[in-house]
Amino acid sequence: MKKLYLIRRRLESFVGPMTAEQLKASLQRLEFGLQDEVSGHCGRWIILENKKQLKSYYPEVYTAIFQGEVGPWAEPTGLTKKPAKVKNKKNSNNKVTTPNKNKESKTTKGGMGLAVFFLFGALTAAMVALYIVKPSLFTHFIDRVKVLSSKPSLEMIQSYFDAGDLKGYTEYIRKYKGKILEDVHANSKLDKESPWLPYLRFYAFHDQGKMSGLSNALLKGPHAVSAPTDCTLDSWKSRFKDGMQEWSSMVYTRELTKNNWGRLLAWDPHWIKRRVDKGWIEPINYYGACIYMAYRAFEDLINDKPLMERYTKIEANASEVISVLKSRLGWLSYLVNQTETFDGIIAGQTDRGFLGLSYWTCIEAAESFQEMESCKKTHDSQSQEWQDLDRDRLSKNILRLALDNPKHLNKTNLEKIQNSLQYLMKNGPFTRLDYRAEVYLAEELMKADGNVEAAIESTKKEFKFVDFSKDFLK
Amino acid sequence: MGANLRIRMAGATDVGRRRKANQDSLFYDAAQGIGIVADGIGGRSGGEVASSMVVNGLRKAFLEVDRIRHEEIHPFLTTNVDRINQQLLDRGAQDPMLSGMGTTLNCVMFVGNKLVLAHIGDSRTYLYSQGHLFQLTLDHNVKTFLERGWLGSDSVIPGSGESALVRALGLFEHCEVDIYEKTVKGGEIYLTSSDGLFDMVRDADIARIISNNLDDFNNLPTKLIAEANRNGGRDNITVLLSKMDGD
Repeated sequence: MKKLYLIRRRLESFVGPMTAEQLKASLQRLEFGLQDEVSGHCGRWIILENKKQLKSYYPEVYTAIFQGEVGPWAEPTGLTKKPAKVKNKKNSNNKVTTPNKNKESKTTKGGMGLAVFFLFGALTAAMVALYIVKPSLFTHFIDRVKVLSSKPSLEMIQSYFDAGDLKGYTEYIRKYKGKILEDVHANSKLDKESPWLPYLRFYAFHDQGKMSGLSNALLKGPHAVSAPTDCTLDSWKSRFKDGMQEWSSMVYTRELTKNNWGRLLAWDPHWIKRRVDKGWIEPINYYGACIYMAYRAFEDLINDKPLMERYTKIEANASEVISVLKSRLGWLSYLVNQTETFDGIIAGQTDRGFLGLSYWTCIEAAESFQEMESCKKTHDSQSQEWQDLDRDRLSKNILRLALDNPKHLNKTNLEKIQNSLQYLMKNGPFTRLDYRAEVYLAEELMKADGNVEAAIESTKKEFKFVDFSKDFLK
Repeated sequence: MGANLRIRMAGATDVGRRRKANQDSLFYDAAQGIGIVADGIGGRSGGEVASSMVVNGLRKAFLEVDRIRHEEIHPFLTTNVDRINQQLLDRGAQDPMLSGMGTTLNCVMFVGNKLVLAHIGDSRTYLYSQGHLFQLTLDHNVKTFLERGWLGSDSVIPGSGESALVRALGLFEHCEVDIYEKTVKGGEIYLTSSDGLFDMVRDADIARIISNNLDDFNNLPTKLIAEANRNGGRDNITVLLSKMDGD
């Protein structure tokens, strides 16, 4: 019976069971990727790109993927020579294959050694002659050797980053990828984050949101517990595409879409901006990276003409639905990542008022209580579930504005915050974002009688990685 | 089910040899293509109440809808799991005897030629195919989360065992449910069980028992339970098997 293997794709679905050969063919058809996991009979799940573990647990799969002619991810076949099988004359009855150690072989080896010695001598003489005639050839060669033997430097990569030299940055990471990944995995075994991870995250999320040799879990890091582990460009494309029939339900507040793209649209950008993550240089944290990938994925989808033609056939208000979703994603990306993806116009203002997601954008963008009130006046959500979420969103932004405009923290507004505490305490059940720090801050504000600085200071002691000074829109 | 696929289901639950009460709950309906296993947690009667609340809640929700399309399953499951989670929290808040109760959940739904699997906690669903056994679900416990780097070792409360649950219904305000999908094929068997089975019987032995009793499918759950009891039966044991017949 042939061994079978099962693939777990993006922690969401399965491909197989199938033989190692079928698995190789399936990989070539791009039915899954190297960041996905494989399991054998009664075995553990191993990420395919973790070559060391894969070789150890499922050598047959390893061989099929990395030692066959699979594609660009395969190792060069010429480097993986099979050891010569030479039968030992003395033990020929045992049929054991061992390295040849008999006398005849030694003689041959001796002859070979002599030949190599003379060849080396001749080569050295030729090189000396060449150096005398054209020394510049050797300078280039020596420089190349220096690069290969040197270690990657954090200072160098930081300097590329500071200079905004994306090309130099990318080339540097590619050049030292092997050594950098060694450092990342060595630190990971010790339960530490490598100092290279922030740079690799920048590299990955300015491209497709992934990096071969690095698992999605390591890219994500330990802090962003409410975000999906797979935030690659491809994953968002398939999420949005698979959920196409639900786009309008979300936009017209008929139903909440409780899967990853629906939750991302509902993420609170101010909450995300407050979460300082030292493991990231740009985007500011994993949530920001997911938003950036989702925005780009959505743009790619709406530029796919055949797909959009199909969508306009099933959705009468296709252009409005698309503009609301695009505007929401653009706003999130603009506020969290400071990208220029938001033109300041909130799509989705109808005769009845703002549509759900657009209403949230309106209150998140409001710079005063007055502006926030004006969003509210023109708003009308359909379902009870949405109305509850609207109130929840409003309460969180009342607190934000209070921090943004401390002089407005009069008795009335303090009462508003007090009243909104019950919503804050819900811990963002839909978005899964944890609002404990916000609740604590609101309580401290009450205790300190509206003294924002004192409240922030005391909250900072309890929640070190939450920075309330980032609430300011300017 | 798909044009040429029929589903057969067989299930059983047992108190085991150490526990006084069975806090596991089981429901299945082959005609509807749904099966639910829940393993309650919480002292006194809490676990029992929690597991039966989730099984009955989902069963009722499922029976209330006339017909469910494939694309509706995901929102159907997440909405109902959220709702039941809230009910468990409310019930726990009202009754001090039930405070802190929770439950795991594994719900298999077969629609068309797809299996949709909702999973929270450390009950498991396996796939048995041609003598091979694959664990489909990931245990939501400290051990798995540490191994996968989803939890920093500094965020684990000292003294917590590796088997401590990170996710379960009724424990927290928000309840994240894993939803998996798989295209099903003829001859495949899906085994859903509480930890009372796989903590007592090695995966390889589970595969062997299934292989040896394929002709006696209806009695397979009791045979697996008997093996768990032979090995000590330290916990309640629930087994549900869903077999795909046809091409």
